Amino acid sequence: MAMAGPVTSNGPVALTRWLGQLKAALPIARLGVDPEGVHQLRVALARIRLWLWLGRWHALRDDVDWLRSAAAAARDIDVRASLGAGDGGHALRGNPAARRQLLAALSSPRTAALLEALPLLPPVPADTVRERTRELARRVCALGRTAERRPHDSGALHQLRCAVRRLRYALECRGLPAAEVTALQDSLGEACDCALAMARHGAPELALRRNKAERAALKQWYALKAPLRRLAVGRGG
Amino acid sequence: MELFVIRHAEAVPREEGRDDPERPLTPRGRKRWRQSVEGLDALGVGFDRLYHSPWLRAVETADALSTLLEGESVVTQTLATAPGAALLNELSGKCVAVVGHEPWLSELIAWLTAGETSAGKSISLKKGSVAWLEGQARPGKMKLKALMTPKVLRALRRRSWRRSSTG
Repeated sequence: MAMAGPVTSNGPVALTRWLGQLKAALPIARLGVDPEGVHQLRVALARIRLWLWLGRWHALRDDVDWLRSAAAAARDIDVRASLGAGDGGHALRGNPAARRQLLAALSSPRTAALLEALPLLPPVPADTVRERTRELARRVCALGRTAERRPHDSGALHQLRCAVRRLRYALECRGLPAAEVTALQDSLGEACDCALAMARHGAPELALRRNKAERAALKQWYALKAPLRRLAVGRGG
Repeated sequence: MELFVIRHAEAVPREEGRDDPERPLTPRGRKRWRQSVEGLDALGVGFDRLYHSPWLRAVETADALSTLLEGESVVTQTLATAPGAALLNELSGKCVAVVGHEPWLSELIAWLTAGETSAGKSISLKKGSVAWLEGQARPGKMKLKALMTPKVLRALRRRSWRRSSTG
């Protein structure tokens, strides 16, 4: 995965880049034609949420979570469509309720206030970002060990996926390489999405895809264990 | 509703080249406000909802209140302008805090207690002060229970420490 933008790994981390992604995703999500717009919106918000956590900000987290969850229903529909499961590709524009919820949130005063507040936040100091990244690496290590013992437990894999995603965003914030972490996140994502679709809609045809993704995730996890342990104790970046 | 109207803590002064919404708290403002929050905690204050203006000094002030918040925090532009129906319609909860700016907060207090914003001129709300109101969040329907200056809040904190150290 190519790193986004020239970022020093040792400097304070500003929100500018993620804000730019959010502002770029908003008009596409509003149009509702391209489901990728909703996906990019949620990714941008997840990154901003992680940045707030890095900076130990409590204010504005609830507002970001609220906007993300407003887009959640729309995103779930698109994921099901991409898996070819469940309601057979009931896309965003075909689901009026999800679309209305998303549009209402995007045009609400709360979103306007959030967009006014976010650019005013100062960069997170470098030592804070490093310390918080180590915390994330420790969490991934702990959840990875659980997933090793329970490689087919979708709950364990989901928790690991969320932790890996957060670590990936933190590494990207700091301009550190994140390709292997991203690959692990993608495999876990595939496994979890298949498991969810199978649980909700049957779809036994997804079992093979799920098993393949779980095996890939386990392999990637084993390759990452040592570097993550080093990162967790502050020797990896 | 119990409504705590909170003016942001001490912020850097206005200066050339910096927009007003960007002004952060001073280090002393941050430290003193944290102490004031401990004073509120000593009083047993907890909020089920917190509303704050999007301007940086209000965001920082609200951020420190997170230890007293049991519910959700909401950013709103209605606290970065003169008080109106939009703000009152937004407020919900039993014990609510709003963080904003002068002169609008004094106008809000006057509106909620006396029914008109112009009486706000006679209210002095220092930075880091907390006005505690009770009643229905509608014009003229609230009573002012207390107006706590930063000094009072910090004193409450010290008093709480002395109590806990003597057992």
